[in-house]
Amino acid sequence: MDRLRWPTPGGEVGIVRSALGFVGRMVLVALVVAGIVAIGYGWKHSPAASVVVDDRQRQAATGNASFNRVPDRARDRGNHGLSFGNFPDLAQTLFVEGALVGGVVFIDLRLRARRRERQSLPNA
Amino acid sequence: MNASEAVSVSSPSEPIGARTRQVPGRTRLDFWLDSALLVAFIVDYSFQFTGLTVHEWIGLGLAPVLLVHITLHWDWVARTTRRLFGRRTGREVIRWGVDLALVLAMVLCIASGLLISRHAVPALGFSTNTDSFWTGLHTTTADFTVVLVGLHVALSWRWIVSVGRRLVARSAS
Repeated sequence: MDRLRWPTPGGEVGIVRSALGFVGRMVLVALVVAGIVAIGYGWKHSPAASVVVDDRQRQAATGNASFNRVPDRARDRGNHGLSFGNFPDLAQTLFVEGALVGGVVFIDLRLRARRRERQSLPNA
Repeated sequence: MNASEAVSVSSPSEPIGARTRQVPGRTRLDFWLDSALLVAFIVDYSFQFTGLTVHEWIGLGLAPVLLVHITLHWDWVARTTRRLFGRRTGREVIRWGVDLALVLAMVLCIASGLLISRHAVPALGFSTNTDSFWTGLHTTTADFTVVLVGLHVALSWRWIVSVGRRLVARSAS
């Protein structure tokens, strides 16, 4: 117990308190998530919805004949399980992520090296 | 998640080598949970590889893990948000912006995925329907998320390397 009569963090009461704190934070995060989903619903009913709406599906619903000529990524996914024949798709995602991470790390290292160079220069 | 969180807590009587190698449980939890989240997202995004059913189940599993991930880092979010109004570095502003965009994109991606689910959510007894807005939002936010995840990971690369090295050294010793 400290001066404010709070239990020490190591005790059972401390574990309960930190668990309650975690649950409280999770409720807060869930509220933020719910707010973001509400933004999504608001977006759906706003004029800006056309920015993301899937045209292929809309055309299919309205019976547009050109729909079948357009490849639909969602329709072409297939209902198969893991397909190792489609490994290039996974490799492509890995490549994109690797390129992004590599690019940022390269820029970060260059910036730090330049800063170090500048700091090591003698003052004129 | 930042470098300061990776600082190990050990008693002063311990030798310095042991102190630097020790990885606190919380840091280990962060590292493995974040790694699992990253691997799951990369596999899930490659839907030609997974197929629709596996894609949906992984997506469904991502939702609670993402909730735990944000909860674990909520202190960082609150601290950095407060600091944005005071003394801040450019790096902090970039990280905060990337993380905010990532939360928005990923939450909308998962939520829209659940709403248009054809296998996983109906298997749990909930009805869904195909909607051109939610389908479009799902693919658009997924494409944004894949870029933002890469940036999010890249901005923490020093923390990842530092903890990864210590975990490898710990398992080797």
